Amino acid sequence: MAESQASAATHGAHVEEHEPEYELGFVRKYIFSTDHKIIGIQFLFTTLFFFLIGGLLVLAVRWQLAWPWSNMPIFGPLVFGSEGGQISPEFYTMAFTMHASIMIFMVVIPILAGAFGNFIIPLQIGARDMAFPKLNMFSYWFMWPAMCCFVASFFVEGGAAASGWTSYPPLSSVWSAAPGSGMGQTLWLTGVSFVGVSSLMGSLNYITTIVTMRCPGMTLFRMPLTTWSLFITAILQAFALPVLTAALVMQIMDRLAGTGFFIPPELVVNNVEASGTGTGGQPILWQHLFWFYSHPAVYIMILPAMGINSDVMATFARKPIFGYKPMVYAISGIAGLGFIVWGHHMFQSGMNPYLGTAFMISTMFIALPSAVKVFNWLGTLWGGNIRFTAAMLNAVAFVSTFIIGGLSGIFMAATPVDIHIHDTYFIVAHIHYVLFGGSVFAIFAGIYYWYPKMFGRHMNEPLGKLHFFLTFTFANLAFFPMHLLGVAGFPRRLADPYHYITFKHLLGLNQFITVCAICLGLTQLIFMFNIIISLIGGKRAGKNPWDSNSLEWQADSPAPHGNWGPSLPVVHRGPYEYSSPEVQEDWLPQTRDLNAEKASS
Amino acid sequence: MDKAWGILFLAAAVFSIAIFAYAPSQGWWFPEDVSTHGHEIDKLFYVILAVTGLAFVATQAVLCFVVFRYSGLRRGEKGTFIHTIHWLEYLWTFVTAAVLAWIAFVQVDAWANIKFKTRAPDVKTHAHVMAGQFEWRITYPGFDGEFNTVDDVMGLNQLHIPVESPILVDLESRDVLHSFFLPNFRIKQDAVPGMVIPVWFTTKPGTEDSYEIVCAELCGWGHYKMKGMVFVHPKETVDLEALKAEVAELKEQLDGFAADAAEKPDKKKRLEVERAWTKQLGRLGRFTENPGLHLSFEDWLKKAHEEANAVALED
Ligand SMILES: [Cu+2]
Ligand SMILES: [Cu+2]
Ligand SMILES: [Cu+2]
Repeated sequence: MAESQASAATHGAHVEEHEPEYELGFVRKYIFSTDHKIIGIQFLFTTLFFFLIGGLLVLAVRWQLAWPWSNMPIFGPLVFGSEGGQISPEFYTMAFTMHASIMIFMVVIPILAGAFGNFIIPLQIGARDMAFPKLNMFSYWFMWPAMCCFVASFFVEGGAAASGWTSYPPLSSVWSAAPGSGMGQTLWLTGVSFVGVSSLMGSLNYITTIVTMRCPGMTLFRMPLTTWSLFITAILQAFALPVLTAALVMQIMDRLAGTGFFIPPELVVNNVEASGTGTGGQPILWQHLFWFYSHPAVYIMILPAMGINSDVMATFARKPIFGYKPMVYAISGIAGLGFIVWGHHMFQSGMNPYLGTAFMISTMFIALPSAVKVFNWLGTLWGGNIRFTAAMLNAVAFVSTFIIGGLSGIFMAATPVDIHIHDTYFIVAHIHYVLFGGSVFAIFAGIYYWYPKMFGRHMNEPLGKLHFFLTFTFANLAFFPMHLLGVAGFPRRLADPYHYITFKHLLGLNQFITVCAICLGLTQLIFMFNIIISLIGGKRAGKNPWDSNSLEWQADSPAPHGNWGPSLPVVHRGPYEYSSPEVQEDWLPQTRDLNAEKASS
Repeated sequence: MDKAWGILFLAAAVFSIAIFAYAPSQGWWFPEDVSTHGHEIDKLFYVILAVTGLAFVATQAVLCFVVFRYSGLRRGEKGTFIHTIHWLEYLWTFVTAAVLAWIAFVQVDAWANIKFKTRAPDVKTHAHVMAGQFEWRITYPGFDGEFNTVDDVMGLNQLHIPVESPILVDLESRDVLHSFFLPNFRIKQDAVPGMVIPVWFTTKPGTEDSYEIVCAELCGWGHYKMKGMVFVHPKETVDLEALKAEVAELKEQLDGFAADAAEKPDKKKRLEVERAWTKQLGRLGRFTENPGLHLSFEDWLKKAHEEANAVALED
């Protein structure tokens, strides 16, 4: 079956050569490009820019928690000149809301799905491009209205959204509830809707491309785990996004069209009667719809990271991935279970507590596939010949920190313990171990690893290692103590927690965290510097600088338009045959035909 | 050189364990628990801490070991060519599943006790707590035990409860979401407009102090300042006579004020008297802020009535 498909694809490959109209103008080639690699790189640079913006916003939050109501140096007079350089509680709420919103919707999701998804998938499965190149181009350009909405919201009356990245109504949906619940909130909702449209276009493209455009010999179980994880993520996104989009539209309607989906009857907020009352809406309905998407979104942000990590680890451990199929099943298991655990965000929300028990049980079991993945990564390293490149260091760090993020999840899944730690810094610690300790380390690993393929040059290794050392150190120092804050009950999102006697003594620990967070932020400048100087000054890279097996390393660096020259590659084995006894070298590319070599010799 | 990275990963693991061990001595740990159910939550936390701690130590140890052992080899050397070990995959999958199932199982009862309506204590509602931007409005039914009657006592940001008795509170919100978080009672429950959610807890014997109410759900720019207090009153009255005398004296003075004010139509003089009485009422205000925890709840209620009358008199 797979064989006949493969040969059909071989024939097709010769017909659809597109050598003509190769010479595109600058605009078509680099701006409104339909080439999956250019689109991937566009996503990469856009998201890295927002990574800096999101990072700047959190400095205000950390400053306020360490030195409340004192003048913030440098940024204080610049941004809050009217308040004498002091952060107002209104700005504080806005800052953490937009920090999380930007990091999630403008950085982690689009960098994994948009940048890596676009760049890697066709190269790893031996396709010339995505199935729908124009749709792909639109998926990038639909990010722009989203970005404009987010950026513009800072300048409208009342400022940007300030109801948390979860936007719980009625705070978010009633105009009189907060300054940020004005135009800023409408722009937030519109922006996230555009991100959703962009993601959905990408998802459909990835699914179609992977199902229909694999090169000859590339069976599903010969795909590298990066592609597998992006494939499953795309399916996850395709099913979860419509629910979010519906919820966003409903909240926009509540705000603009007088409906009351999420607004209870006769609601008066801040002495103003909310519109849409009398229709008998339910604030908790939003939470169900939002988390039905946003729990899977956590996996949208971690599964591709896990895939990237597996590829980097196998390459630099010079060993086959331990338990390739269990890894694929674990990814699928996480994705499947991911749809029935959303209620664990709502244990204290007023949702029926019986339902809480059900969600607790499903959530406990979603820890299982994650644990299996960790065990398999350790198995991959065991008995390897590890080369510590900057990419590999970040990948190993992913395992180290993901263990912490995974284990802390069990505390929150336990309904009784969650009573105490819900909405405290324990949650903040957990999400940062998963999203920074997890996703961001894998993103760094992926960038160091594929940079030569993207630009034909290496990133500077010593700088990369310095960046890794400082990032790993400061990330642990900044995020780990947050668990302790959480155990002490220290709530998140408070502009001044210290007027509670219960939390007064936590000021010192918060100052320590802030200092480490600032250092962590500054460290990222090394990374940005490295990315930029390596574009012109980096050591030139050949086709396969890491002696890797997977297909993308058989294309030129950087790969030309169409990726493969006159004929598509043919695949003979899985992507992880490192240190195979069949050959002298410790790598065996997927395309190398040992039978043909034997026959000719 | 590569082996040195093992030290970094080891350092991270050691730091994690060390700071957990160090934290309780610094108070970076659970706040004092004065509820009768809180130990169930804390105990479960320690159980999970033990299990995850073990998993943490084991996995980090293996990670550091492989980083030490399998790095810095010669370039030509090959890794082990192995794809999987089936029994090992089965083993760690089933052991992990069993441990997770056990953790899920042991916590069901604690959750049910704290949140299932069927397990709520069979007592009359002690108070209505109405959350709103950015205050807690608390209503007691008064001596008749019924809400919405003339003897209801209302207070702002103060929840008074008797020690050792099961307390049932009806939680509501009048605008956006809030969350009723009592760190020392291990209670957290969102307040949702349009819903009345029962919350119950009992204070440990021997508790006689005040504890903070924290709003734990983002409710707007003033979220941080939505602070309340729980006052735990003893069962027995200790010094009721002295307090009665103090309240009586205050009331007398207030009566005097009313008479004074009525007698002096002269605006300037009247202002003078008002200023003098504001001072007195200021004293009363402080009195309310620190409402004699030595009183039993019933006596506090009486006093609150009298204070309310006094304030009404002022108007
Ligand atoms: Cu979740
Ligand atoms: Cu509140
Ligand atoms: Cu609040």
